[in-house]
Amino acid sequence: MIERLENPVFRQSSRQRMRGARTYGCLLAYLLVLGLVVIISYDQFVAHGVQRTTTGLAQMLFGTLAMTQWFLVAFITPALTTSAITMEREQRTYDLLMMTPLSRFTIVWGKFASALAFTVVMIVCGMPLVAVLFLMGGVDVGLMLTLYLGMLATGAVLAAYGLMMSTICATSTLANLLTYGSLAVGYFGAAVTGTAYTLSRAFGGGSFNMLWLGAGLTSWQMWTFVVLTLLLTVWLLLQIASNYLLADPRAGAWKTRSLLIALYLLILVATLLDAQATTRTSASANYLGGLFAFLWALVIPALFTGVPYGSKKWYEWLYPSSLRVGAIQSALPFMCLIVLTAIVADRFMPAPLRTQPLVWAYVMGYFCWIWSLGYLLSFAIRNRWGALFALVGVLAVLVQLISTVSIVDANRGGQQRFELLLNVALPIAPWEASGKMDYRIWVVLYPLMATASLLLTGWLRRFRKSAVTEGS
Amino acid sequence: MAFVETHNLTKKYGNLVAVNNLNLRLDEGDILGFIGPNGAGKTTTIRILATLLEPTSGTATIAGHDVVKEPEAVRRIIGYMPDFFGVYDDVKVWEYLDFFACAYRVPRSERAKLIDDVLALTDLSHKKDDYVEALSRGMKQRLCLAKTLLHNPQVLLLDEPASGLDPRARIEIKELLKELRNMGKTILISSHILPELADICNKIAIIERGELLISGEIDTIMRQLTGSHVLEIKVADDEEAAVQVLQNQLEDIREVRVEDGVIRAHYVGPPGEHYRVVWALAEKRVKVLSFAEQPTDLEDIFMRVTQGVVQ
Repeated sequence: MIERLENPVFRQSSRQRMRGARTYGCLLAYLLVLGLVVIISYDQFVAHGVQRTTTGLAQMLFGTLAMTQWFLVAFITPALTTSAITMEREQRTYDLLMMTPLSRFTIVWGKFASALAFTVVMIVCGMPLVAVLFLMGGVDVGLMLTLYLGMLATGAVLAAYGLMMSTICATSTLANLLTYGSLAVGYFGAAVTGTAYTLSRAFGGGSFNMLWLGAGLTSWQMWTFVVLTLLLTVWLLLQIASNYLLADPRAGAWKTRSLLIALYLLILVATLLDAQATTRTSASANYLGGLFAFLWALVIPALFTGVPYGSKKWYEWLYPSSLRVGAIQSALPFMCLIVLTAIVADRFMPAPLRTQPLVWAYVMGYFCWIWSLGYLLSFAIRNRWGALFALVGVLAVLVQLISTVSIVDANRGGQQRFELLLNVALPIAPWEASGKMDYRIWVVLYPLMATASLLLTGWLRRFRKSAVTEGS
Repeated sequence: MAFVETHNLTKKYGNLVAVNNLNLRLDEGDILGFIGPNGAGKTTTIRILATLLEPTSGTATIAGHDVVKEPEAVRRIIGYMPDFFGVYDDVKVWEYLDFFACAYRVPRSERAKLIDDVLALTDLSHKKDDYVEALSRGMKQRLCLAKTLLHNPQVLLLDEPASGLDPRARIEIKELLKELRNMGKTILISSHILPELADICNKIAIIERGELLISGEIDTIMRQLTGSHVLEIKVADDEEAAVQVLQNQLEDIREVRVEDGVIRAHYVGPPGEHYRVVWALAEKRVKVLSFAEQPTDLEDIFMRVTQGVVQ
């Protein structure tokens, strides 16, 4: 039994990592930075500190140290995995590894666990510095443990993310570039959004209704929700990684989709619990519809692009068994099922928060339209990443263009004449609870646009076929 | 039923057809020499059989398992050695083998003995505690073969096992292959160096530009192809007269050429009856100094088969 649990990839990766001089250099640099931060903070505290008590010093040093450690862990962990698979390809050991009867997930898990083990080593290495602070008193053990758990969770998610990039990219350089590039954009975006949100609250601006942050959840519910979300996220990233080790990544896509559903159901349950427990003065109608559209809008560019399967008739994709095939064609039936679950869940929402049936029609129409656009682009480009970037690019350009036009128009005295058009790219109508925007027009427009896009795809297919026939 | 079989196997990369309708067949214990120039589609075929690539169309089965539908089952019974491979840094020889033994789920209690066994077989016992990256190319090649043998596979897929080796290492690999043949393994071995395969294989398959030109038992192919044997005749003088006799008086002789004083004639008559040629020459008083049947070898077959395509 224990032998079944033995993961050779974990042992091999850890062994290699701990034998290299680079690892110790990295640990040394990490500890030096931590030490340096302690010295500088101490110096600053002694020079400028207001409350010069030992407890205050310990608390301040602990805070600084924990934040620095967190930052360093977040910075280093992706590097532990970004070259995990690309290095195998570059060293030409990849084929031999893939030939073993180890499952793809076992391979990915071994690499991930090895990186996570090193993250634990990093966290533990920094502990002696914190231990000194305990002598001064004032440091809360519970808080410290929570912070370390947070660090570990951050490390786990980022390591899994790096590993996913490593399986998708062809070279280590590209994997590093994309991982750190996307993380930097993510951090920057989060910082900007966070600041904008805080400022808007501070100056009395309207707040987003969706950001309840689980105010109605009890403490253990919140913990369960956070832990499960983290676990599922890591699992999802690792599953995507192991899909890209398959000869055809589409073969494993149904597992990714199952995990997506699990994650989505978790959020759905948390939202229901939250909504039922909270008493609000300002009830927001169409709540679930809006949240649903927003959450899935983040995922659909990836879900609605890909190299299409060409071997089935269109109606065969409506068979339930087709849901197992992770192709773009089965993504729409998949999405329809998801919308159905949301409509059912909406019945359990408190009455003032329920979503109008027409909003569901709007949401479904939006998904149909984006799916048809993704299908057209995938069919035209015939490359997974090309189609994904094209779809995101088209949507982003549309949003930018319409926003610019509406701002220019507003300056000339226009009254939000163009904002309605934003629905072409983003499902924003459900958020306009007061019904300022007449989203009903989109309930008709979306299906029409989707049909036009599908007709264009059909024409492209016939054109290609005739070109091939003439060519041969 | 064949042990390893491909049926109309095709692999396309965009418009490039790497392998086209390939039909191969190996029975248990067969050693198939897979011959073809560089870029002919040998590696693609082997990678499909090794479950590393999916064919565009067609099927391939090993011991009844489909390589696309049951890749795990196939991986357990095959040992694959790629043409180019790397090794992990900072790992010792025994650790490298231990890693793969564990990956193939060899029980922990049996691993140490197994590793010693394969190291002895590949003559690497003395390098057990050395670091892998410090081995010579030939030793790495043998280490890879040792790794391939760890789980006692029934089928070996060896892609250019002797490429880039010095003559000594090449001979050692060849000896090792003979030993494996005696152990009853089914082996598919690709190469573009023909003499390497000649005395190991019982079957050959020749592939060029993705097309299988010919495949089957070496002896059968020789009979099919050559229907003729090349006779080498040396005469004391008057080669002209001898050529005249061969061309005009014997129905079973085709293509007579004189090269460096040696007459080469293709005999297409019934096997074992080419003594009639000597009789005919003797009858006309041609002074025959020597008369020999030239053995047909792999190179000859290869040249004959690929000729059509090259032209």
